[in-house]
Amino acid sequence: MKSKIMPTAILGIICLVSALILSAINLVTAPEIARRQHEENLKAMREVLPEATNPMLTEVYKSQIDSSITAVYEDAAGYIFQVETTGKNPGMIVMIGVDNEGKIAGTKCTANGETPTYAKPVFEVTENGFYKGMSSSNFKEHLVAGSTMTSKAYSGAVKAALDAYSIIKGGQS
Amino acid sequence: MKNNKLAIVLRGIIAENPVLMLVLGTCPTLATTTSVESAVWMGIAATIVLICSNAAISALRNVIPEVVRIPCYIVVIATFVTAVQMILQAFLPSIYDMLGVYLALIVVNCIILGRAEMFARKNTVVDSILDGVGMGVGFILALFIISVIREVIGAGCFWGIEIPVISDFRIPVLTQAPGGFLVYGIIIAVMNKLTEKKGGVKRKDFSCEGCPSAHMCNKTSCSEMTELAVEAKTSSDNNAREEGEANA
Repeated sequence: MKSKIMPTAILGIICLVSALILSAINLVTAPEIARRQHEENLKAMREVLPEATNPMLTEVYKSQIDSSITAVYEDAAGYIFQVETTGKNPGMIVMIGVDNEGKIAGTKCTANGETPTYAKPVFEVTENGFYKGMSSSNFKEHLVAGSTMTSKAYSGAVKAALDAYSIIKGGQS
Repeated sequence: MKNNKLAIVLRGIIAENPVLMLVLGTCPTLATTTSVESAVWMGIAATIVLICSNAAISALRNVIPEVVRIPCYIVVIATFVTAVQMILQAFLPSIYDMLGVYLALIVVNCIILGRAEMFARKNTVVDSILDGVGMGVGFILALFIISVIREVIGAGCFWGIEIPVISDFRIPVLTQAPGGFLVYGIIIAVMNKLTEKKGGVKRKDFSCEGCPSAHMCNKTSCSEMTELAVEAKTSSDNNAREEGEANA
């Protein structure tokens, strides 16, 4: 019995000490990570909706729109949608700016876990204005052979943003 | 004493280079050597984890029971990898983004687990740290050599800076997987040739004579173990047959 309990207890103690060490490091690094993420979000928002002056986070539409949209920023110039989706790997976050005419003003992937070699041909096209000017009525997917999952996820995120805009505007009319 | 300490460090750089001689850590080697910058930073991150995990595992070598040693090693290594990840994400985000998913994969890097099993659990903390330093420097050196070839000839760049004449005659396949394997294989072949003993016995695949870790391994050669196992089985079969005949 002792020969089974001791090893388990020692493994448990090592896990506990590891957790405590990582918690301590997290206390130091988490605020810095959050600050950098906030700065990157602000920078991305300026890129996807250049006319935006003061985008404000709003929770009003949360229940009406797709759950993949994790944040909606409202501005006089339009809306900025933050969509979280899964390509080859989870954790792809795409910011999409939609102007007051319902057209895409810009898109940017702010985080992803995709393989760089396969993600590069997707992002090179999408973030050079592929979706700019598209609306719900003339939306066209951009699929890349060999990077199908990444490109499909990106297109899906943009589509979700356009659908959310339609719902918001439909609700306001 | 000093020579012994120095020998521990130097062994990991050439004679027992983890990538080129022991052929460990192939995944990050091939994945991050498309550019010199990512290769060097991957090497530095892995070296920090290797030194810290070697030290911790050596310090706990009399505490960790045999039956749970591998899970304990994995927990220790994962702790250091997670710490490095958090620190890079907070203070060096560009490098964190550059290394991507391969940073987390350091947890299952064979070099780190291998050195914990082969060296750290049998040696003192100081020796384990020195082994970590030697292996880490060897790892960085190997990654640097491979990445220089792949980036300069494959992409016509060095550290992201375009090289004027070479960039016009680059060979793009070297930056892709097939080219990576090709460069890796050629460098291993060159290293084998350079380290081959002059006039000595050619290194055999499963013999202890050419194994770079022979002085640390207590087992007999793989071929001898196989012969012993076959003999034991034959003897056991003969005994069983004789007993059957006697009972009949």
